[in-house]
Amino acid sequence: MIRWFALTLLALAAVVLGISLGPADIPLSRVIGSVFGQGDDLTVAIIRDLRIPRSLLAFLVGGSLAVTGAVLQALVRNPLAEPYLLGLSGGAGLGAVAAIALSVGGVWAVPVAATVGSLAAITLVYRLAIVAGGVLDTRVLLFGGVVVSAFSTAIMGAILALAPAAELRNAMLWMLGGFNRASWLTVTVFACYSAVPLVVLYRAARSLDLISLGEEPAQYLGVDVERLKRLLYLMASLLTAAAVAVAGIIGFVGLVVPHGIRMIWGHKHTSLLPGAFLLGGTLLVTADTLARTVVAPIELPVGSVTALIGVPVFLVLVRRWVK
Amino acid sequence: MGEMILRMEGASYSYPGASGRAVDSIDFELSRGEMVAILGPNGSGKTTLLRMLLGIVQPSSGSANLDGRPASDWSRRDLARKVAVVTQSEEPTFPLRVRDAVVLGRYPHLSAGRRLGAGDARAVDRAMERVDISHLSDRWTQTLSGGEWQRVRLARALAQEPELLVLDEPTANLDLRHEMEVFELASQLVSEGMAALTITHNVNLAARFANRVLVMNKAAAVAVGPPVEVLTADLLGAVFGWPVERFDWDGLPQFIPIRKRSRAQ
Repeated sequence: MIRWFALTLLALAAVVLGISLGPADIPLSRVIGSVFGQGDDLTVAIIRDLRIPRSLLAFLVGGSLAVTGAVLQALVRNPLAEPYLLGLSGGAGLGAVAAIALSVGGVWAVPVAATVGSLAAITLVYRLAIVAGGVLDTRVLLFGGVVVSAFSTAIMGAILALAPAAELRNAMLWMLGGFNRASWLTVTVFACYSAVPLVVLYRAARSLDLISLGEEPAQYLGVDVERLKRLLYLMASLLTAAAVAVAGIIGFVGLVVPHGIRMIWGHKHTSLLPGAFLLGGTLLVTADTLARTVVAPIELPVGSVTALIGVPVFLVLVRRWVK
Repeated sequence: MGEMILRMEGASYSYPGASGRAVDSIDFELSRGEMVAILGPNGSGKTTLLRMLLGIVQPSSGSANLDGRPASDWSRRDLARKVAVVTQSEEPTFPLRVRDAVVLGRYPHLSAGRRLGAGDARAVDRAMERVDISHLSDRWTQTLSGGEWQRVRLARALAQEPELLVLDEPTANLDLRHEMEVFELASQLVSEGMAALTITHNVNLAARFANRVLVMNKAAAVAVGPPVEVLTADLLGAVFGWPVERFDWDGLPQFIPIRKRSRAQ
């Protein structure tokens, strides 16, 4: 109970800091006032229309990426799995860029195209990693993820080179990623889009405990493994796509966060998934706050901040697990 | 002997793309209160036979029924309430506390979202006592020895409260004492009305504990029946491709492999 309290407090603190800190220097007292619409119009607008939606979006995206990472780790039974490293993010990015470059209209065009892209990516990587005898080879899986990511980046480059000027600008802005375009609309779209997969994944927590044992033991303990795998990969792709559609490609959140929770609380998914959501949100809000403030008024890509934290963790984990 | 639980009639299976049959037209039945051991050399089709009985693969011809219904028609959940399986090996990727690992055996009895009840906790405690791992309750699974881990998996299977216990080479990692304990436990469960099916390479323990043996060679059943009737030196010598000698002990056949050269003096 205490650990949930501590984690929730940490999450709240991160969001409050995210709302308080920024290039425009606004003291905390005025921040609180602005939340309730008191103060000058500009400050109220900065707090209410920029910083609050931005922090909320970063939190939701971070939480979703971390949950996706934890689920993928159980599915492939390897703690190195993560939407970015498995190529899901790259696939989603390719879908999104294609939708923007072809100027397909509508709020939903980019998320839907990103979903198709990430589903295609995970299907490809997963098929590639099933070696002789139907066994999933983790090294091939990670290798496949890297290849799919590289391929996606290459095609994105080609699409950009061929795109007309207006679409090129939009796509470039999108590719830079981050939360600077966050608005109440993107928060709403993301919340709608991610709610279903998050609920479905949480409800599958117990099955995830079993599938972590291996597919055969899971079957003998009553899990319909094929059906569950299809459902979970679909949900993981939806979540990744939603995250990529609103924030671009952000790596390593899905790796670092579940690892942290696993170390402290163990591997039971009923606590791992909500824990990862809270800590993932905390991490990404904090990373975004850092990205905005460290060299203000210039803004760093938030993906650079998460990579700075994530790459060392990844290297340590690789040494420990790929023997 | 109790009511029949498993029945195979002319069951055959070929893996897709393979030329021959992995299991060739097997007739076999198993009742509650009975232990049957499946013997045979590596690659003789024992595991495929098991996979057919457990509904993982569907017979290409013939039938494999569990309680009168094709095994592959059962939902995994319903099947897991009736049949528990201890597979040859299982690598724990993410460590769990021993008790939490055993609790996973209750999964088929829980409806989605329902928490573990007092009955579930009792089943878990009982299972852990029966395989003598209660003292390991708080240990992490990755710190266990091979034998301890094997017993944790057996406890998990018992926590399922199955009517049929399937053991695929259950004692491969176990020392003499724990090997005997597993067989003694299985035979105790069988006397309480459970059905047990075990694949084993230990011919002598199979002969002493099983009510019947099924001897497989090259995908076919070459003998089915009580050990004392069907296990002969000729049969085992032919099946395993190595000469053995039979001697009887406690009224049951036992076998020792014969050395090809006599021992140097």
